[in-house]
Amino acid sequence: MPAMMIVAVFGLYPVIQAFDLSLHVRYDYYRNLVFERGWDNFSFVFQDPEFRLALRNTLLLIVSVVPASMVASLAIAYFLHTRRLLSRWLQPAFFLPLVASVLAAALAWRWLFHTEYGLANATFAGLGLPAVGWLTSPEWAMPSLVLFSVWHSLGYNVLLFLVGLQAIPPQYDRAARIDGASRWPRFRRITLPMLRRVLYYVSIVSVVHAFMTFDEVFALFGGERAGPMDRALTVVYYVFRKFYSESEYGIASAAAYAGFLLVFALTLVQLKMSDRRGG
Amino acid sequence: MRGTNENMWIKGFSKPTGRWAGLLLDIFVCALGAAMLFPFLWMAAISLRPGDQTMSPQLLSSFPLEWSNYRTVWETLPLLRYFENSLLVMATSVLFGTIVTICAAFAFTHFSFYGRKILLAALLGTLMIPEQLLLIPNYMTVAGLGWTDRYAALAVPWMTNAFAVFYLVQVFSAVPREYRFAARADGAKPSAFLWKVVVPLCKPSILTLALLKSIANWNAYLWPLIVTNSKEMRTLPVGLLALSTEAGTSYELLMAMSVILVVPMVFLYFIVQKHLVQAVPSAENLKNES
Repeated sequence: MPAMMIVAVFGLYPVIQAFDLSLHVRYDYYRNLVFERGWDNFSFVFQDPEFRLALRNTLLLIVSVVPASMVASLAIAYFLHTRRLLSRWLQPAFFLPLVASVLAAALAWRWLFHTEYGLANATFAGLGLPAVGWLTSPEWAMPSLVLFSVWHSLGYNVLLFLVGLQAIPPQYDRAARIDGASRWPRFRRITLPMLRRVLYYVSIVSVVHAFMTFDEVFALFGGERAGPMDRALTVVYYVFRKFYSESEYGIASAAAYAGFLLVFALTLVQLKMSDRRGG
Repeated sequence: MRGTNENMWIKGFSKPTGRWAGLLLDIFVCALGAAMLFPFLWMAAISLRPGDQTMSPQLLSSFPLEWSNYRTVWETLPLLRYFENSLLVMATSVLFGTIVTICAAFAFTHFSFYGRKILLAALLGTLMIPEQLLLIPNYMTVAGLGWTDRYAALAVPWMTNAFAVFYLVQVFSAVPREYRFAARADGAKPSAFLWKVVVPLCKPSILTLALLKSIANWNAYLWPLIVTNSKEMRTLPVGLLALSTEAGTSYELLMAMSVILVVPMVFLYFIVQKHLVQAVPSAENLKNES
C-alpha cells in the first residue's frame, strides 16, 4: 500500500503538473480574455485573413497529406510484409526520415527544390518541362510542403502498418490462396478488413499530426516567413507567430482553441465512423 | 500440372506472369527506397564539396572530396561542447522521463483511484494541444525557477509527455490481470510487480518509446533556442540554426553540420532496430481502453 501511494504520487504528480500547465495555457489566458476583451479575440481570429489562409492551408494539408501518406505507406508496408528478404534491407530506408532532424532534412530538401540548381528542376528540364519556383513562387509553396510532409510522415505510418500486418494470422490468407484467390482480392477481402482498426488509428494520428504541421514549414522555408508571401501558413505556425514574435497571447490562444476544436470534431467524426463500422 | 501450380501459390508466387510483375514491383519499391534516401545522399555528397561547387547538379563529381569542410565546422562551432550538451540533456531527460512515464502508466492501468477516468481523458485532450503553445508558459515557469541557461531548463520540462503515457497505458493494459493476482498471492508489492513483471514483459515497447523520445529530444530546436542565451549551453540543432544564420549560403558547411547532427541518431536506430517493429501498440488495445 505505501508503495502504491509512492507510485501514484511520483507517477501522477508530474502528469498532473504537465496537465495543469496546459490548463493554465488555456484557462489563464482565456480568463484574461474574458476580463479584457471578451470574445473579441475569437472574432478577430475568424476575421483575420491570415488565419483564414492558415485554416485553409491546414485543411488542404489534412486532405492531401493524410490520404497520400496512408495509401503509400500501406502499399509499402504490405510489400515489405510479403517480401521478408528485401524488407530487411529496405526498412531502414523508409524509417530514416523519421530518425533524422527536420532541420537537417529540410536543408537537403531546400537544395533539391532550388529554383536554379535544384534536382527537381533539373529533372523537369530533362522531361522538357519548364522550371518551377518550388520554394519561391506562391503557387508552388503548398505543393512543396505537401511533398516534404508526405516524405517525412511516411516512415511512421509504414511502421504502424507493418506491426498491424504482422498481427494478422496468416491462416486466412493461406486458405484463400489454396482456394485460388489472387493477390488483389486477397488483399481487398482479407487483409484490409483485418487491418481496419490499425487503419482508423493511423488515420486519427495522421490527422492530428497534419494539423500540427509546424516544423516542416519552419525548416523548409527558413524560419522567417511561412513561405513566399506566407502562402504556406498553417494554423500552428500562425499560433507560434502570434505567440512568439508578436506576443499576442490572447489571439494565439484563441486561434489554438479554434484549431483544437476543429481537430477534436474531426477526431470525433472518425471515432464515430469506426464505431459504426464495428471497428 | 494443377497440383504444382497450387504449390507454387502457397510458396508465395502467384501465376507465372505474376513473377515478372513481382520482380517489377521489387525494383519499383527498391527505387522508392532509394528515393527516400536521396536527400540524405545529397546531404552527404554536398558536405564533401568545395565551397564553389555546391550547386553542381552531378551527384558524384570529379573534384576531390573536401573533408576540410568538417574541420571548418569544427573550428567555427564549439562542436564538442554542443555534442556534450545534447548528449547530457538527452540522457537525463530520456532516463528520468521513461521512469516517470512507466510509473504514471502503471498507476493508470493497475490502480483504481478517484478521478482516474477524467485524468486519462484529460491526458488524451492534451495530445491535441500544439506543443508550440506550451513554449511560453513553460518558459515563464522555467524563468520563474531561475533555470534559464541551465541544463535543468533543457531537460526537465519535456520529461513528461502525454503521448508516451497514453502509449504505455495501452501496452500495460495488455498484461493479463491474472499475473497481477498471482504476484499479489505470492506477496509481491505493487512496485515489485511493476519492475519485475510488467517492465520486462513490455521491454520492446519501452525501448521504442525511449528511442522515439531520444530522437525527439536530440532533434528539438525551438525550446533549446528559447531557454539558452550563452553559446556554451547550445545543443547541436541550435548550432545548426546558428550556423545557417551565420554561414548563410555556405551549403557545404551546413550540410556537413547536418550530417554531424543526423549520424548519431542513425546509429542509435540501428542499435535498437530489431526491437522496434514488434513494439508499437496494436489498435486492438487502444480500442479496449476507450
